[in-house]
Amino acid sequence: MMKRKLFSKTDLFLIMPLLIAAILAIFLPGLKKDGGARRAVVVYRGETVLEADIDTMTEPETHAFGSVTVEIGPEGARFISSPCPDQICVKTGLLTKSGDTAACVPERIVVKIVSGTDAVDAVAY
Amino acid sequence: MQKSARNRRIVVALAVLLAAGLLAAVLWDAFAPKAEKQSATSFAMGSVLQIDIYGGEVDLCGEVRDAVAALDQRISRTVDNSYVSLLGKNGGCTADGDFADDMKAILALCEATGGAFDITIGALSDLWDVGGENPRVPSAGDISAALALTGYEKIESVGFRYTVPDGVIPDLGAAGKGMACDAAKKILATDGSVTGAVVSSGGSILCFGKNPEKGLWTVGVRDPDGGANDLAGVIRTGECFVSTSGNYEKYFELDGVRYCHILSPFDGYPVNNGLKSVTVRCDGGMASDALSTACFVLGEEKSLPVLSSFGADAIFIYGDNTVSVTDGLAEDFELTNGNYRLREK
Repeated sequence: MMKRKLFSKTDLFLIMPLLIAAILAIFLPGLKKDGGARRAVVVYRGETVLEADIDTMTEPETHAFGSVTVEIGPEGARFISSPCPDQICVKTGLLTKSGDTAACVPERIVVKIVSGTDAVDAVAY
Repeated sequence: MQKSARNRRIVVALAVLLAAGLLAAVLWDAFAPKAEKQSATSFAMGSVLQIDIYGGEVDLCGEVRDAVAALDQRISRTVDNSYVSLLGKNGGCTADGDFADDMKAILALCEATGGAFDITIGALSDLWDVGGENPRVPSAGDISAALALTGYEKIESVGFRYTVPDGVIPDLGAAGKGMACDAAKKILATDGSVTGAVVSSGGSILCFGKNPEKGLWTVGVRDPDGGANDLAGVIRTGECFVSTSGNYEKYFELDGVRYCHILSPFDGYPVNNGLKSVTVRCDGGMASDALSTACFVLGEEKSLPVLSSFGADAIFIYGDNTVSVTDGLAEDFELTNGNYRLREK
């Protein structure tokens, strides 16, 4: 009785590209977005004045912009103090995930977390 | 036998072509040059203006920023010599064509909502001062007096000349951020090289064209009880405008009662009808902003015919954490927060 092979050579021409396509389709979307590394970005009076890769930070750092103080560290970013009356920026608390944003409108400063994997494009509020 | 072998070779060749095509598609999706992104964060109309544009060939962020700043100069009550300020302070102003176009559209919205959205709410807003330095619950007499100064039909125009009776204070705050989105869209659509863009003017959103990665845009709907970055759900949508009005942005509490900044032009009191927020999606920025306010004032039942007349849809979030979604948004909206549940129709 002739022994039948599982795959013939011609079958491999078909199987290999399909297999490679399937593997790439699964893993490429994650790879091409830098694994979603988070950066804290501070925009002060219209200019980006600080960008920090928070996933590689080990200790929190404090930065002053005018009379506003911002803390950026491995856990995220937040406003520490501001002279504004309502303190909305400080009350927003720790920004941790991509898309999180806090702003101090009177002092014209925005702190946000960005990465290649934003869950939402914008938030209606 | 020979025929069978030939057929098999043809099948294999076609299958290899198919597999190669699939592989090429996957690689193209991963590595094809994506549209350049330009972003800008600035401030306008007392809030953050975030601009993200894909595919534009010139500095369109700057153009959008300038257009919104020019709009701010025309319509903001906090700008001393804006047309709206002059109208309130002097009882009249002679405007330009852009302002006249805006006023025509905005007064039509006041009328279409039966006055639930009313741009002469200024006297009442000043009286309550919710979100200001001296928030208070005014006397019934003061509220009646301010109500007598409220009513969009009090605004009269002859050509580009607008007048209001003494004491009437126009305030376009409930539509201004949506109007900023309209101004942005005008620039993006005129340019022709933009493939997609998202503009957020203080929480009023313009989704333009297509998201370069996913096709559709994902717009978060704020959790009324959460922090500034907490969501109740998300809308997956094509090109549109989205605005939200809620009782959580500006309010004060007295004796356990929350007084929010959205005032009813009908009775002069902060709206307290069981709603926490209303989010509206439609094809105009001014309309989405004005309609979200109007629907918050009207409540769901009375809002439905108004929404329908604009081809708009809405998400109503209630105080008991139930959520009602109009039919046109049912497929596009997803609750992502376990604290909320959808109402059964």
